[in-house]
Amino acid sequence: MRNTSSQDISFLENELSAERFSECRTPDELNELHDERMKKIVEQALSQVESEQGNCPARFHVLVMGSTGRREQAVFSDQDHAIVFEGGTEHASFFRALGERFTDLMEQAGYERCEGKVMAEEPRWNTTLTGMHSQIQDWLHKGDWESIRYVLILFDSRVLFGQSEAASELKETMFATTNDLPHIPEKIMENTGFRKKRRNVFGQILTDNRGEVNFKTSILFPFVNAARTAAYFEEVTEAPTLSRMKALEPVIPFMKHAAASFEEALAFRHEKTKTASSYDSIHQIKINSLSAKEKEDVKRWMKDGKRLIQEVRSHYSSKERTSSS
Amino acid sequence: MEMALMDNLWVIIGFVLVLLMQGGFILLEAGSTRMKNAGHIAGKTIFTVGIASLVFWAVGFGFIYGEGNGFIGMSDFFYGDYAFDGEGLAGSVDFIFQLAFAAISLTIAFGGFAERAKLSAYVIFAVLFSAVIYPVVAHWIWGGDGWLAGLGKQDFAGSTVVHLTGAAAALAATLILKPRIGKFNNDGSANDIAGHNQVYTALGVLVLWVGWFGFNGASTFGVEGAFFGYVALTTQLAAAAGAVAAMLIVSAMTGKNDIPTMLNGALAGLVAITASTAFVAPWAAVIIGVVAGFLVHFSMVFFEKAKIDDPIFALSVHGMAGIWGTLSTGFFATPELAEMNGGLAGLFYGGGFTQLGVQFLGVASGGIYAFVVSFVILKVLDKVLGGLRVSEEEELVGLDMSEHGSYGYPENMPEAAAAKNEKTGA
Repeated sequence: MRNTSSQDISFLENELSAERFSECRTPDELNELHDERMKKIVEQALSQVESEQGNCPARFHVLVMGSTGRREQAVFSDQDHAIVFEGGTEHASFFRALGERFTDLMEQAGYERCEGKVMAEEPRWNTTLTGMHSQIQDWLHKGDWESIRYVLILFDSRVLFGQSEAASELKETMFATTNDLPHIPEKIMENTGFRKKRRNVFGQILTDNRGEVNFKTSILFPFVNAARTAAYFEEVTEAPTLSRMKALEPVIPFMKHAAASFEEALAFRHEKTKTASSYDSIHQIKINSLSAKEKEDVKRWMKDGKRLIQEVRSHYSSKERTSSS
Repeated sequence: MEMALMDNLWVIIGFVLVLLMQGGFILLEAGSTRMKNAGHIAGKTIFTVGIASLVFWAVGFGFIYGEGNGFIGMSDFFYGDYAFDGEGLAGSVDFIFQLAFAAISLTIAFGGFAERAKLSAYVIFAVLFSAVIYPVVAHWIWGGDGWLAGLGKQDFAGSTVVHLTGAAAALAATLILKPRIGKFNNDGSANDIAGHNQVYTALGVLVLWVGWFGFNGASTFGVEGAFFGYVALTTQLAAAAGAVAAMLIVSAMTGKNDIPTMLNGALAGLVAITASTAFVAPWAAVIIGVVAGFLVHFSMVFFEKAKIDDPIFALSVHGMAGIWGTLSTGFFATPELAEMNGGLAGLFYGGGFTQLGVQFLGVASGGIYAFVVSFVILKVLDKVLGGLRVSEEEELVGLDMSEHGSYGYPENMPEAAAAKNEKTGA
C-alpha cells in the first residue's frame, strides 16, 4: 500500500491559496484560479517524481473532466482527472507514480477524492495515448451503461497540462467509432436519462427533508446533460457547457435561451457558495432562505433545464427516425 | 338453532381473522423500522397479545360488557361462561371476538413506542391500557348502557373504539418518549429513517386488509341476510380508494410515487370505513377512502413538521383516519342503513347535524379520555421506571440486543458477526 501521508503544499501559498477563492467575482475567475492551482500541483508532482525516478521519460497530458473539465467548479470541488502519455507502456510506472502523487497533492490542497475513482492514480485513467484511444473504442463497442458513462466522462475533458489537441483527438475517436455503431446514440441519450422530479404538480420546488435542494443535480445537471448529449451528436469538442451551448444554437434554437438561464444559474451558485466552508455543503441550497425573486429564478431555471432536455430528446429522436426511414 | 350456530361460527372465523391481523402488524411494523429492532418489534407483539388476553379475561371484558353504569361495566370478571341457549351468540364466542379487538387496539398504541421504549414500559402499559383505557371507551360506545351508545353513536367495528383509542395512547407515548435519535436535526428539519423492508410492510398491509373482513365483516355478529357481504363490499372499496388516493396525492405533492404513503393510504381507507361500513352507500365508501388517503399524506407531513416522531405512522393511519371515519357516518349514513344498524341518517341524507354532533362528541370524548389517561399513566411510569426510554447506547445498538440479547437478523449485524468470529477464532 502506498504512502498517503500528508504532503507539503506550501507551494500554493499566497496568490494560489484557497483563501483567495472568496475574492473571485465571477465563476470564470474562480475557474481560472482553480486551473492555476492545479497546474502548479502538476508541476510540483512532476518535480517530486522526477527527483525520485529521474527525468520524465515521455510527453504527457493531464486531462481534467467533470465540473473541472467543463469549467463549472464551485469553491470546493472533487477530483476528476486522467493522465495520458506518449510512447509505450514501458513508461507506465513513472506515470503511475505521477498520477498517485498528483492525486495525493490535490487531496492535500482541498480537492476531495472522486468517489467514482475517476483519478489519474487509477489504471483506467492513466495510460498511453494510444491505449486511451483503443479503450474508447472498446467502451463504445461494449456499449453497456458503465462503458458509455466512461465515454461521457471523457467527453467532458480538456487538457489542463500538455497539448490541448490531445483531448480533441480522443473525442474524434469517439465520433468516428460512434458513426460505425448506429445503436450507440440512443444509449448515449439514455445514459443520463434519470429524470428527477424537481417541482410538484402545483409548481412548488421539491426539497429534501431539510428543505434544501442540491443545486448541482437539480438545476445545473439538466443543462449540462442536455448540452453534452447534443454536443456529442454534433461533434462539438469543447467541454464547457456554455461553449457547447453557443456552438449548438444554430441546431437547437432553444439553446440560446437555455444558455442565458444556465449562465445566470452559475452566477447565482457562485454568489451563494463562494464563502462556503465545506465540500459537503457546497451544493445544498436552503429554499426558505431565498427571496421570492430568487425562488422564482430557481423555478425558471428548473423549467428551462427540463425543456432543454425535452428539446434535445425530441430533436435527436426525430432525426433518428428520419435517418432510419 | 342452525342459523344461530352459523352466526357463532361466523364470529369465530372473524376472531381468527382479527387475531391474524397481529401477523399483519408484525410485518408492517418490522418492515417500517430498522433491522436492529426487527426481532423486538415482532416478539413484543406476540408477548403483549398474551398480556392483553389475560387482562381482558380478568377485567377488560367485565368493564366493557358487565352490568354497571354509563361510564363502566362492573360484572363478568374472569369470564368463563360456557352456556349457550340456542339463540344469538354464545357468551364465549362474543368474548373471544371482543378480546381480539382489544389486542389490536393495544398493538396500535405501541406504534408510538417503536424503536426506543423499554420492554418493561411495554409490559406495564399493556396491563393498564387493557384494563382501564380501552375497556372504558369501548363501554361508552359498545356497552349496553354506555352513555355514547345511549346517544346513538355509530361505530360499527371501531374507528373510534379500537383505532382512535390506540392512536391517542400512541400520541401520548411518542410525546413523552421524544423522537428517536437522528430523526430531527438541530435546525428542526427531519431525516427519513427508512424502514428496513418495504416488502414486509406491503405484506403486512395485505394481511391486515384480509383480516379486516373479519374485523368489519364479523361485526355483523351473524349471517342472517348475508349483510356481511355488503360490509365486505364497502370495506374493499374504501381500502382501494385510500391506496389510489394516497399514491396520487403524494405523487402530486412530492414528485415521488412513495410506497409507504400508498400503503398507509390503504390502511387509512380501512380504518376510516370501520365505523361507517354498515351505514353508507358504496359511492360514499369510495369518497371516505379517498379522503382518508389524502388525509394520511397531509397528516404524515404535519406530524413531521410538528417534530412528533411517529415511526410507523400510527397517529396518521389510526388517529386521523379514525377521526375521519367516525365523523363520516355523520355525513354519509343513509336512512335505511341507519335504521337497520342504529343511529340516524347523516347530514347529506337530510339527517341534519344530530348524528354528526354525536359522532363528534364520540371522537372528542374517546380521544381525549384515551390520551389523558395514557399520558398520566406513562408519566407516572416514566418516574417509577427511571425513564420509559432505553439508554442512548441501547437505542443505537438496537432493541433486539439491548432488550432481548439477540438480533432478529444476526448475520446482518456487524457486532454479532464479530462476536461469532471471535468465538470460532475466525
